[in-house]
Amino acid sequence: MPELAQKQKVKKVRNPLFHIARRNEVPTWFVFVVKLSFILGALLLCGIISFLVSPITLDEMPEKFISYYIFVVEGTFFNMNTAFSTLWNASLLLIIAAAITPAFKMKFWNIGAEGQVLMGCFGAAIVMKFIAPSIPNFLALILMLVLALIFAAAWAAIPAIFKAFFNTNETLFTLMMNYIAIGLVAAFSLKFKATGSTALGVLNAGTHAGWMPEIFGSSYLIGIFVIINLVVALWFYLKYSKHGYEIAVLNGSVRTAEYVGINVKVVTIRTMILCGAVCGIAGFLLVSGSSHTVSETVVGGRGFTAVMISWLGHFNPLEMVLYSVLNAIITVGSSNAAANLQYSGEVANVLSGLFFLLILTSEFFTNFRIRFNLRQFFKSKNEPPMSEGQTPKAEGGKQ
Amino acid sequence: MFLEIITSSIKFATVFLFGSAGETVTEKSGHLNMGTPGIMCIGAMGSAIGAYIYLSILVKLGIPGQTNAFLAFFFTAFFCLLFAGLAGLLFSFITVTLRCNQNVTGLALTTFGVGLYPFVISFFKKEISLGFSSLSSKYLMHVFPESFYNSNWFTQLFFSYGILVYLAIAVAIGIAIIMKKTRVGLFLRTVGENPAAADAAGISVNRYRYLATIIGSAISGLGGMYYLFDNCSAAFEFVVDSYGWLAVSLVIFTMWNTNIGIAGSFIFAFLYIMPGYLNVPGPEKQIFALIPYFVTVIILVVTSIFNKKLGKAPAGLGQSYFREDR
Repeated sequence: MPELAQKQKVKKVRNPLFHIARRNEVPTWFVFVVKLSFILGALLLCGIISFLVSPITLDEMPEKFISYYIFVVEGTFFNMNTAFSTLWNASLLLIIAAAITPAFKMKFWNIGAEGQVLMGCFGAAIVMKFIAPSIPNFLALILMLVLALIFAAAWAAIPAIFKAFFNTNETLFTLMMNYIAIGLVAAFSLKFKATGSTALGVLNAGTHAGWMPEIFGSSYLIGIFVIINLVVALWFYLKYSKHGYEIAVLNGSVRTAEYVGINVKVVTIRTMILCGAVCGIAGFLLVSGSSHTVSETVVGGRGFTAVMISWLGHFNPLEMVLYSVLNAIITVGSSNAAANLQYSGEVANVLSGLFFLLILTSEFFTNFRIRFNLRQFFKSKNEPPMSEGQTPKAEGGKQ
Repeated sequence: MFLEIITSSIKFATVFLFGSAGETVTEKSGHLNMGTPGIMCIGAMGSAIGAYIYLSILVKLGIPGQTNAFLAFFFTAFFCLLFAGLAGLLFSFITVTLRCNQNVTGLALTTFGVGLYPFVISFFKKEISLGFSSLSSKYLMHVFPESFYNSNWFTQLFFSYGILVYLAIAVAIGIAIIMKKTRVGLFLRTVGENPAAADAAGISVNRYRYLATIIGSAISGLGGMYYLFDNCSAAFEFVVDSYGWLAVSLVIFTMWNTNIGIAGSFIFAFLYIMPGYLNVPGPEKQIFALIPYFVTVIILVVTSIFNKKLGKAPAGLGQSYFREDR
């Protein structure tokens, strides 16, 4: 059938509407503008969601939309106490995010920060429970720190050893280690639970043994100070030390690292022990500074949030400050807004998840550019790019 | 009592089976969806929304309580699949089209879903009188009439479950057959193993990844619906997320084979609920509950040491594919 053959030849060549290309050089101002607009967009979205779900009518509260932001600020930076606790939340996120960064930089997907911090808490709590009441507070704090470091570093070293020698999948291994840690802590807190309770309860509430001392009326200040120093130290370690350089080479290519004589196994295990140790410090600060106990929920998902913060901060500890502070403001502030605008406080998790999803999508716009080929696209619809014989005239002739 | 342990293990196993079967489909396409716990929560939320819509339609029509088995199942399952599928679409849009990191996207999705479920449910709590639990106990917890399945041990062992239990087994077997025997399954495995080769062979990598993630998420979402409407008889305060992580680990345990998943989910559920029947004190119970995780770790290590073809993850797992990249 010649007509059929002709018809098949007329089949349109599809030109894509747009194509996506990687950007080579991204100017800093562009990244800044994109990030800022996405952050503002995320905050605007939070306000819109709050506006939509609140049962308060506009007659009762004409300033309903703005009031979300007022309550957020009120809940986070209204007075010294709330400001310190917001900063404390942010700095805990920051230190955990900074802790896992060296591992991420060498493409070791350590999502076990939750478990590593929890093991740090566990180690600190053991000292607090059994040894701290009988020794001076200073000594107790040091012992807590040491045990927290050992526990957390060991927890990080186990997957690293298997990764180095057998190339075991570290993402899933560290994920499992989280739940083993959670189970161990749950068993511990049940075994030594306070009388008449189902959990361990606040330890040494009377003697304050193993509690971080208060300065200027806040127990958070020492912790925040330590964390800021640690983060700067980690930034320096990654940027200027020989170890940091080795990690950067491993990030580029494992083959190159082997070729220039870097012992990949040693670097993997050493870096993970460092990650675990910093996570242990975070656990120690958490137990001695604010929770004064250990339970399976004491870390509260911060280990997972930290993974996102570390990634979004481009593995730069200083950039992570922004995201950890913003996340702390959104979660702490939204809980306050929810209580005042009469909806469920669970909104904090929803908004924090949305915030991260939006910031993630902003990565696309900084890394890639979209090129629209409108003319080509519409051209392909009207006249197929074909040789003679298939002009519209010929088609008309057929009918 | 032994029979009771077995039947309640099978009931509980269905949560894991749905979750891991869906995640297996997704992982076969090369996507490691860490959002599974969140997606299961979103599935549970969707089924609750479906039930709410159905019950309020009946109230509007002036016939409250005149429920119908087919419509009850249709509304809950449809909205569950819809919302879980939408969550999968969001995940695949961000990871495939926008080429963002899969682990980070998954974790963000989990945070989002785990928060969204109790948040949306908080609006239904006042409407509890609509009869969510009767919907669950009437239609979703048992397929066969009680006089039939309670007659002897054999019928109790095989016929005392809700429709979703049978559906889960059918889905798991179906996935295994599609993966092994059909062209679609072969293409999907190719996309997961080596996307560049698949692309060169003319397979649309993005289309396969989108579809596998959406379908896989929808199946995982059914696990959330099952947990809410069958296992908890529509008691909204239980959240499924921790079982979602077990479902993710079950995928490794079963070595990416949903046929083994049927047995594997039973073993996980058995280990999880057995201490409750053995009069074990609290702390030791927690240690018992760790066994599934330990076993998963051991399987991970053993398969990596012996480097078995059988137990290996899809080679392209967790990596975004961008044609222009070398």
